[in-house]
Amino acid sequence: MDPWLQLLAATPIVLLVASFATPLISARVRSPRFYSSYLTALALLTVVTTWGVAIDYATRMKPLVYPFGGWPPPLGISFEVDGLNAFVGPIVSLVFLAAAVFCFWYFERMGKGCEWLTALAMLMMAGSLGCIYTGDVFNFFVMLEVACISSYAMVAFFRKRRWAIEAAASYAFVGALATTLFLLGAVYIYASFGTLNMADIAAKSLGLHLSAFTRLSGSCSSGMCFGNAAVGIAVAVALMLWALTFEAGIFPNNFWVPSAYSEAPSPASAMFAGIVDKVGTYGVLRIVLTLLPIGASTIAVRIWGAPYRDVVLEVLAFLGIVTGYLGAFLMAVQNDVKRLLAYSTISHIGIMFSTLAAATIPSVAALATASIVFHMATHAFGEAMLFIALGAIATVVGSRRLSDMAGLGRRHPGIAVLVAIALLSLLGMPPLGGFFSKYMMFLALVEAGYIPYAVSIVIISGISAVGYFRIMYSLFMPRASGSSESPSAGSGSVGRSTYVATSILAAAIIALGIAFVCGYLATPLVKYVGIAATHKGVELYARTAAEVAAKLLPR
Amino acid sequence: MDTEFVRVAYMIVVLSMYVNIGVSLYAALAKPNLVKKIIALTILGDSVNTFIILVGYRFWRPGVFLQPPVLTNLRPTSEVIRQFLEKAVDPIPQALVLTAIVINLAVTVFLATVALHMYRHFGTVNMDVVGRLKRYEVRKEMA
Repeated sequence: MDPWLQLLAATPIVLLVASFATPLISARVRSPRFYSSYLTALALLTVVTTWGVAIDYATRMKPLVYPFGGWPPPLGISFEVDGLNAFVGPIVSLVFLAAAVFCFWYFERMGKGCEWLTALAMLMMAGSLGCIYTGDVFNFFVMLEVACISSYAMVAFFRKRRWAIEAAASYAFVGALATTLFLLGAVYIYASFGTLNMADIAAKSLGLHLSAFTRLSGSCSSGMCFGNAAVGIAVAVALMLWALTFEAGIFPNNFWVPSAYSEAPSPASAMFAGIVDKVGTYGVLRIVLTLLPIGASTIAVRIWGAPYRDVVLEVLAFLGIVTGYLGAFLMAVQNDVKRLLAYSTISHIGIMFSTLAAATIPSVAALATASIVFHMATHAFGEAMLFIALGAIATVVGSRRLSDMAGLGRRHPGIAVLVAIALLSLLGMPPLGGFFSKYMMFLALVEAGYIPYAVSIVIISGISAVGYFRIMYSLFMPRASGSSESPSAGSGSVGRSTYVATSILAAAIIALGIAFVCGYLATPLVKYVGIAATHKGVELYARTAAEVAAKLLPR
Repeated sequence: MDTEFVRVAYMIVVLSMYVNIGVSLYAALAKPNLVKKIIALTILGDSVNTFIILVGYRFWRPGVFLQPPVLTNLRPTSEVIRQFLEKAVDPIPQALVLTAIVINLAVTVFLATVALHMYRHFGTVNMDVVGRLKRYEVRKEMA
């Protein structure tokens, strides 16, 4: 057994227990400092375990499997780490750490109610980690629900504000619909494949006959497993993708994003942009790459002459482009700074999805996947940084309007510089990570022959520059002389913890950029992350789980 | 009862589940009243749960004695398990439904609380009215 993976498997459980213990603790302890320390300690734990597992995976180059309770994989729930989730986990946990550090200042400022935000943040992180590392479709659903319910509650956190309640209602209602449909999709998989384990599904759709799996969940012959595998997976993927694109915020399902992100407390907004979105995107990647692998012989459905997998990817990519343009255009006209950042998130997620088009070509799939995961990292860091820094400024000013923040960059020069780094990275300025992730996605799309999509990435970045420069302009603009505000507005301190939180993420962005320039990143990304998208990688994923099952089965 | 009758009855049940899911989805999206929406959502959840139980259904044939999926023998031999597999329905969908019901409960309680707060803030639970108010607000914000 791998010690790191065992620690990681314990992390969501520790987070859950810690979260449910918080209301009990709150009967005794009232100090905001205690809760922020508590949250930060657990965030450090997730950072250590996720990075440990990522390094463990990178040194062995073989998927790691942790079967809960010692049940062999198709029977019990298991955590399975391959190139995709080994590196999504660390990204998400770093954002969680930054949000937790920011809470030192935010909780002090908020005073009452910080224990509830602590409990919800931990619950959401537990759900997200479960989603990311699980190797079981139904467990994914349960963990998605854990993450979703806590994020609905975080949107409704300021229950005295009417628009927070409205945002929570529209998010939670459609979210509940989406997750119910996800459950229906998971059941279609069970009814057609006779299993819920992702490795087993991948093995069956690739047509591998792994004795450990066939012993427990039957085998497939000519498209028939337990039921009709091709029809089952087609319906299931359609339903599950609807739910996951809702979480990620892709075009027809992005209506909840702006209000929910802007009404949530700032640490929660940072976690939405850095974690909830990424879980949705990761789920989509997992479905299209592992459950619908390249060269799947069992489930070769064709729609209008094209393979089902390609149709799914093309549709997602098209919706991604639409989302990208929509987010970029709407960003330019916003006056509410958190709403503006929410639209920026929408636009970036759109770009990531448009790169999925490149995954239709088997030889480019690895590069496309690696670039999407890379962009997940740079976008999560940049966006979380902006939500933290501008959220802090908005709290100090007492308003989220851009015009009210005029000139504050001069009063808080340190924060303004950090904001500028994040903005330039999201925009795509060469020495920073954001440029290289966009560049990799561009390369993948060009190599796959999707020139209009590749050009769209550049155009979308150009359009979104308007929004980013508006933030920059209003931060450094001199305060209008006719301003009716009292001079004391916005004079409060932004807090040392805000600096620490944003500096962590800024360092990560700069480090990613420099590592790419020095050539330490491009090849390893394709080698370690991209393998999850290839036929070989998925086969290895299935075989490793089967090996573990064979070891656990009685002779 | 003959096999043909059971087959037709089964098809009717499956079809009615689909109709139920469709109708409740329509109600959840089209009705403006938040309370009605929540009711439709619970109907959707229940239809999906029933549908899941149906997945574990074991087709009845004359001469087959079906049993609930409970193994009474604590240390079963492989022969006992084989016989059990032939008689019992699939227990996994039932386990899944148990989890899903608990989750549905949590979501419904949360939504009911939100509906209560909606009523306190807006004096109505009609989402169309609230949506109009919001569009007005957003337009004012952007102007």
